[in-house]
Amino acid sequence: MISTSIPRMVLGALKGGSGKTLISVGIIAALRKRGFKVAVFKKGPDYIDAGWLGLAASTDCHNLDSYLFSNSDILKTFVLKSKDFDISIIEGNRGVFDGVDSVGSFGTAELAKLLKAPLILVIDSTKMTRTAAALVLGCQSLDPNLILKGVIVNRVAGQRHKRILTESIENICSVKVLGSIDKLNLESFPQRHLGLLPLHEHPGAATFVQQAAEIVENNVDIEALVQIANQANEIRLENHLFVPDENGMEHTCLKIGVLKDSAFQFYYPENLEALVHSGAELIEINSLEPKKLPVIDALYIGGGFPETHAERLSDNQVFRHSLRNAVENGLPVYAECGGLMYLSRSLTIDNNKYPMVGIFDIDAVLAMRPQGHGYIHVRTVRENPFFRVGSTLIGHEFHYSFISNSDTDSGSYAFEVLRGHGINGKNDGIFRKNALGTYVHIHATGEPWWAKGILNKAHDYSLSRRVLDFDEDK
Amino acid sequence: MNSFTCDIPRVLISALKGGAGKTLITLGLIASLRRRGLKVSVFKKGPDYIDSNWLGFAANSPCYNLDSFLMGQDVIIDSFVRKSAKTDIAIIEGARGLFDGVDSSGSYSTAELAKTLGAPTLLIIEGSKMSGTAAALTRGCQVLDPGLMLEGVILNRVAGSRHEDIMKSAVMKSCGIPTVGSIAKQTFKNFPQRHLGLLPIEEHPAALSLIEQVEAVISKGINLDKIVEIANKARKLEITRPDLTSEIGESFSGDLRIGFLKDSAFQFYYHDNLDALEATGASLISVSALDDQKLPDIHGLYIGGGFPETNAEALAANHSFKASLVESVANGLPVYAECGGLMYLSKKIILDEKEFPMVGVFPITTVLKKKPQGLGYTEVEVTGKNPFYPLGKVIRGHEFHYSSVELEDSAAPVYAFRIIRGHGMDGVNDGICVNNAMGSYLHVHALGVPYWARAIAKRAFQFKLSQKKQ
Repeated sequence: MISTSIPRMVLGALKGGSGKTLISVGIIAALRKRGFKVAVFKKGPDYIDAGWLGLAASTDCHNLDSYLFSNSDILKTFVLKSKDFDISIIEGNRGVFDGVDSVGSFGTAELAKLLKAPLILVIDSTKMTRTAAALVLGCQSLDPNLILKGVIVNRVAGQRHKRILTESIENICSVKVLGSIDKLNLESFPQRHLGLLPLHEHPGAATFVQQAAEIVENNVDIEALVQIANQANEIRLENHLFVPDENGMEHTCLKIGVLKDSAFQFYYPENLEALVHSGAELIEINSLEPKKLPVIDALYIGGGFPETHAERLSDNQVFRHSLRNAVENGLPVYAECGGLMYLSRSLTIDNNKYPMVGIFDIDAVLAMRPQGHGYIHVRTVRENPFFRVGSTLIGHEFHYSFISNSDTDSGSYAFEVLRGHGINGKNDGIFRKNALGTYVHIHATGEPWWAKGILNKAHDYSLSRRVLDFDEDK
Repeated sequence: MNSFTCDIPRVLISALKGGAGKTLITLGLIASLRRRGLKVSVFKKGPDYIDSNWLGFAANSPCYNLDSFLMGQDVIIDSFVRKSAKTDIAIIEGARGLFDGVDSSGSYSTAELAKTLGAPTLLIIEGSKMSGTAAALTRGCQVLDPGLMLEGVILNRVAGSRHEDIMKSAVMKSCGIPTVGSIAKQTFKNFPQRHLGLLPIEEHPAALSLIEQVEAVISKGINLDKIVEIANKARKLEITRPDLTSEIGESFSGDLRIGFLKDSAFQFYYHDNLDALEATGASLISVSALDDQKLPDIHGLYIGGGFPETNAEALAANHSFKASLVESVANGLPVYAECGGLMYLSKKIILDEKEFPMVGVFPITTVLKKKPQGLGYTEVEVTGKNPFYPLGKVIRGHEFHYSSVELEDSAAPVYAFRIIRGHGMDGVNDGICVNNAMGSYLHVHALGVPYWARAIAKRAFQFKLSQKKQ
């Protein structure tokens, strides 16, 4: 039996946009200033908030999501990744009872209960006073098993507002208001799409974390939070869950490139770990630098914001051409979302068309509204470089781009979309040679075969290349 | 004694916070009901002129404000019963969050009003970035006050049918109440907001087409049959009390004329206030500070609030009108000025460092600030001699102003009011008096201060007599 009693808490809210991330970042930074080693987790598929939490904690943030992985995988991840830390902070997503259906399946409340973690509720109190108490009461009443231990009221307009909110909530709900944060004008914390700007694009990220820490330290009772976190019950797990994966390390000395720069940055730590665990040596590559692609056995391109770097990506012909040549020679490339956009012929933004790498005969266009957003299910229906026909994959998608010429003539699609949108509502996973591009973001914990598929292809490629080199040497 | 039983179907539209879309949904509901041929009476919780004017416009009948801080519960019931009489359905729009009041026990809240009126309540839930949690919010309202007749939910800013279905069935499962409307996320073009709410209807060039636009959207999203069915669950109200209007006392017969400024600068008048002035026997004369050359022949003047700041240049440029007002005040014309009216009677308005000369009755300058200088209920005690209020009275009202007051160096102002609650002119005083003119930031509601109209009429009557002598 493996167990953990690590102090922990989940920060939840009633809806997205209530200020959870800012407050979480502040709490994490404030705890670190007090000497705590803080493990950080983010509920749901998400790269951006996770990036900020990781920055504040100075360690990787791990995603936990019961839609993408099993409960035992969630517990296992939590236990393993909070080992050697003093306290774990888990940031929820959206409203605490929001899930994929009307009973909040796979929601934050469910996660908090699974992790036996006390919940701190962040309430945006804009244009509201005593009604805030009704909202807290509703959460208590809807799920009495939720360990709702405290409230932080956000966007408070002055002392009187704070007093009425605090009195109402404490009297009616018998739960402490542990913090009250005034309406702020944090211009240094810009938002894009649904959340914060990715921290790679943020020049003053460290300053911001400092600011968030100050705000929280001045307005939130950190000691009380720690006490609440300390009350978390022990989590016990059966030993067999921790038996190392015997299938690992079939290959060695394979170099897997990963595009990592301000355009491409959406990588779950588990995905990179899984590649390493399967025998890869990871090579970070910057697609914005005017250099040729280094010698690698496969390339992984995650999501990001190619749209905000379209001109620079497009201008970097040296890199684009060497990547295209490598693909023509058989380099395995696994590209997700932003990566797919990058491998298409062009990316159009506001009527400006930027040439991209041109692996696939499709053109990406940036729209004003999300074209796909949420969990996605696909079934592999065609032979392709990475996935077995018949296998199904679960991931998520979130893209403002669409493919303007996505009829089946424009390429071969590996996936049939069962839920979600993908490339055109029906198909996803376009492939040519050994490159595959998809809007699906996969989490390696949920899809343990994914890394192996890439490594196998990388192995084949490295062999064929040696043969090729050998031929040329002759 | 009159005895009334009121069984008018009614429904109160509430939300969890301000800005959830109450007014637009209420407007759409009113317009949809009217299209069915129903006669709709409309009410607004709280002190408010702008939403009320929009509601009244949509209903094609005056909107009356109901607020238990400003007036007693018996007055509220009386007002509601009388004004909803002979209509088919009454729609009441709440204010802010359902349980928000002045304190942590929610005094004077929308929920309290709903119970006073025996009105079934619909809750608007702003569904953006939320799904099943909507049920927790609804449930919380049910648990917090089981006495409230919370009969349905209207979802606003819904992102598609899947989002709607999840929220709807979550609310039904956990709370047992139906979702009677679901409005998709959208932007109404040309529905600009100012300060805390909508732009005043008077400043809106295409109010009618806007109402049509709103109706088109809302009527598609709401289940009107179900809402009418819910409205029919209203509790019977019974009143057996004298007609309050009779308390105004003697009527001033003869030709007593009270003017009130009504134009795009001044427009904040409760219908109850104008009704009360008329009930004294006076006839009301509408006057425009922008278009009229001079003040007409009147015996008293009421200047309500509005947005003199957005009309500052035009007000400043109407020299002849300002001069005639100065002359009349010097001759003893009784003037009762509130908020925007006070600003208009000051020496000047300073707006973005530009000065606009105003009437100059009071030795003050008003300066527009970026943030509200006073906002909320106010309570004052009458401590200074003034043309209208008896000493010692305590008056309740509300204030909402972005302007602050700077006194002239040499001024020795006479104030009628000492502030008990609120900000007034300087946190301590309000109700500056010169001759028979009085200006204050306090907006008074005639149903809460029943002697107010009579005091103005009486002073006007005296002015009329003094004129005759001359």
